[in-house]
Amino acid sequence: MKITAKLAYSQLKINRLRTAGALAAIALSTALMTVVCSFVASGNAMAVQLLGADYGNYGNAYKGLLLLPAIFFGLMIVIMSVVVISNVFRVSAEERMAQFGILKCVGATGAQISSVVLYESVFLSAVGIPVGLVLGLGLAFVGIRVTNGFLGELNALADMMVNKINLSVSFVVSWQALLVAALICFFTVLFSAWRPGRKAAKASAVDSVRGAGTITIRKTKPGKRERGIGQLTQKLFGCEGVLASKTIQRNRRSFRATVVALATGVVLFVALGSLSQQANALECYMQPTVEETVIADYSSARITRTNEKTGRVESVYRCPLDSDVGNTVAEKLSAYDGKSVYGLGLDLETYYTVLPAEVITGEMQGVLADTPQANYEIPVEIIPVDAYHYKALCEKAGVAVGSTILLNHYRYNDNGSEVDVTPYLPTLRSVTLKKADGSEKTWTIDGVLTQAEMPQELFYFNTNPIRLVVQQAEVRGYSWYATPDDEAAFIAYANTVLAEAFSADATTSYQEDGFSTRAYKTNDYAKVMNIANVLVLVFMYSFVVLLMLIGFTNVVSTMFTNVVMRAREFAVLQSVGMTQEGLRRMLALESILCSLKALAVGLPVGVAITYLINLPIRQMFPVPYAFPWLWVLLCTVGVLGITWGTTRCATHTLRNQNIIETIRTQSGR
Amino acid sequence: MAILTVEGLSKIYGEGTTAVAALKGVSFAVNKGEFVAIIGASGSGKSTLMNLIGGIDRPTAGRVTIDGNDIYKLSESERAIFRRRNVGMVYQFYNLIATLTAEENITLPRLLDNRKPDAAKLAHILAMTGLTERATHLPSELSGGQQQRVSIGRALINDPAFILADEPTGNLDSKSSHEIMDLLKLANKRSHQTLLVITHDEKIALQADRIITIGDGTILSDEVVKG
Repeated sequence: MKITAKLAYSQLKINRLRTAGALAAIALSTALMTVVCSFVASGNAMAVQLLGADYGNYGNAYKGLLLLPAIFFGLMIVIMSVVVISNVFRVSAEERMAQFGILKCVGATGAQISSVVLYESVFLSAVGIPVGLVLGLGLAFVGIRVTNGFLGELNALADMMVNKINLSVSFVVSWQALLVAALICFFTVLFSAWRPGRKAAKASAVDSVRGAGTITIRKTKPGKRERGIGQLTQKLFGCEGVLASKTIQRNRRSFRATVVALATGVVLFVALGSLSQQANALECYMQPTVEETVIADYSSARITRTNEKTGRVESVYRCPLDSDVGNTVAEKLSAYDGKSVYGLGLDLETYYTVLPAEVITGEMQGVLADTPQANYEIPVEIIPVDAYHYKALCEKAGVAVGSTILLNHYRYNDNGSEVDVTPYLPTLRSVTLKKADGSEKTWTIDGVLTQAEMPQELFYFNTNPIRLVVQQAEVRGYSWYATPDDEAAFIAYANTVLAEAFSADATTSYQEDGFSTRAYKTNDYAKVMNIANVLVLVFMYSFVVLLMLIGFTNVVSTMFTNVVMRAREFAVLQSVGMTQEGLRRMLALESILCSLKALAVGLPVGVAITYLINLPIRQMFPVPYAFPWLWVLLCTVGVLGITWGTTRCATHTLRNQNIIETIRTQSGR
Repeated sequence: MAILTVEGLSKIYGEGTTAVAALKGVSFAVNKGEFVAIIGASGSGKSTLMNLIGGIDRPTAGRVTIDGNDIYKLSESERAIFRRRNVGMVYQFYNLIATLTAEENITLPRLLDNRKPDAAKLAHILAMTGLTERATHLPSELSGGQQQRVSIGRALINDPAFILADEPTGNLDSKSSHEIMDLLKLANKRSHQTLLVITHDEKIALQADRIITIGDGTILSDEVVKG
């Protein structure tokens, strides 16, 4: 073995704890990287199976969907690994500055010195990377099993709601994925070792022999403020506190990696915690508000085009539905067990109207436009309701059957909170409905229903500002809400009714038919959302926990090495009269100060990220920003616990230390 | 013939008001095979001179020529290789690599050169330094005198043109000191290796052919002791 390799090997053997830490970090990074690469390989296999070798029409979009998250997660792993692993090499190189100095005196060149550090990285990679690859394949296997569990449920739901699909990911052992993971990790480790190696090579031989090396002790003249803090620390924590704060202040570099690792953990956990909080809020919002348990629906395909005459964009329905047909289906469905089915048609895109400001409430004017205008162009929503329930609505509004009823209520999302407004004044007596082709007709408003008078079926998401309930209309879609005793049987029955009413070949797709029908349980959407939600969160948490384990190896090895390397300093302190208890207190305070630094960086960044995550969400959904108190608290406790516990364990090793022996043996170094 | 020439060598540490001149234009020459002792009180600039001659520091001004090579005209790597092949260094604190055995420490300069240590040569050096029995021991398993003998063995392995020893006996008892000085003198006499010893011990200095006294960064006296 080359002498440089031998020196690297013996260094690894001497400092076993750090070697183990570095190996764990490398193995974990490789494992995570392998998981990411394997998922890309499996995702690719699934996409090829579903879409064909070139991913079909939207190939680039799918590739992006597969690669972008992989690149994002890969980068996080690489950054974390570089921070942690380069710290291992930096500390290891600093510890050996004297040795490098001797080597230089004996005639080692700079290249030979840095190759000692590089050999260390090669040896560590040679063990850590294969272990990581195996571990990663194991994790990927478990991960894919878990994913398939979730996908199985999704498939079952999709089967009911849309049509037969079979999403499943297969576990693919791809040598390309393994090679990419191994290479990325190897170069990460090599890069992490390269910088400390180059620094060691550049340091002057005289300095290295003296052991001054690259440890920079910052000596700053204390300002007024610092003197004040010093006095406060002295009063609060005594001499040990002062020593601890000086160590942290003047030896920043040794603690930097620990602070970075801990702060990253805090940022990720706070962000993820808040994300799951918001996902839950979103899920609650998505929960159905109607009491009915089953929905059957019909929906026509639609073409959007520009009308040549007027230049307006118009929607043309391929197979519009006459509400009379919807009514007939409602009657047939009600015949199943005698319970009335609520039938509801919907046309959101055909009509618009222009209303003068005089008929619109001030509140609604603010919703429609930022600045007051004389006239407002408003999209209209036409809602034919089945005969039975339409009659009930007419009675409630106090008008004759055949009347047009205005739903005088508008619900919108105001930057995260749901707001209900009464949009129109009683002066609104008629509406001129305009179409994109320029034709128009005027409808009188015979009756009005307020928010309190509206049935729950009419509170669905994303309504237009003007909503008119009518007896009869041609619409794009129609829904039937039912509350059967046997849901599964009713769904089967509804499917046959729908098939009869709209004779479509069940195997053809939506675009070819021009319409689609389905019957599903009301909470199926929420369930899909929940499954997707849980799947994503399970993966994100696993990822963050594993990523944090990499950081944790650093915290442990830094804290331990810190104590071991400073054995002489501690012995000197003890020889001048510091008690064991005082020593422990000093180290505990150091760990607390280190944690506070990490929290001071991590918490504001983490909280800022949670706010940024919420910004786009609350633009679209009524999910307001909630400060992640719980997560801030958990992270604070966690970080303090981790550093304090580790230091406590490390100080335990000092217990049996003989003061004189330590001073003697360490003074020659 | 001069194997080592030092011309106008100066070294200033620090800058501005905190600048300290450790060496102020020192010049002298040493002939091949000579045994020169450099003495001076602590802080006189001895160690700075030694580091500069050994090529592990950089002078502020002046030149050091060894065997016709101006060593500070060489690049950092060239100087390292030159040092490993032509200069043997012995330090007060031995400066051995703790993880290598006595034998490996001795052959280190050759190993750095990627050259196989010559077995006969190694056996000869081990015998000469009295370490044959201890060849596979780690430095921590050796006494101070033995460790210093390892470091002398390391200095001799490449048959360097000259040996630089910085307080080689400074950390040893008087018996070990004798042994170490005998070993160094033996190398000087038998192989005609030039020997430069830095010391503050007059007894050791008196064994040399020539004594250079340094004080406050300059040469105070340069006298030949033996003819």
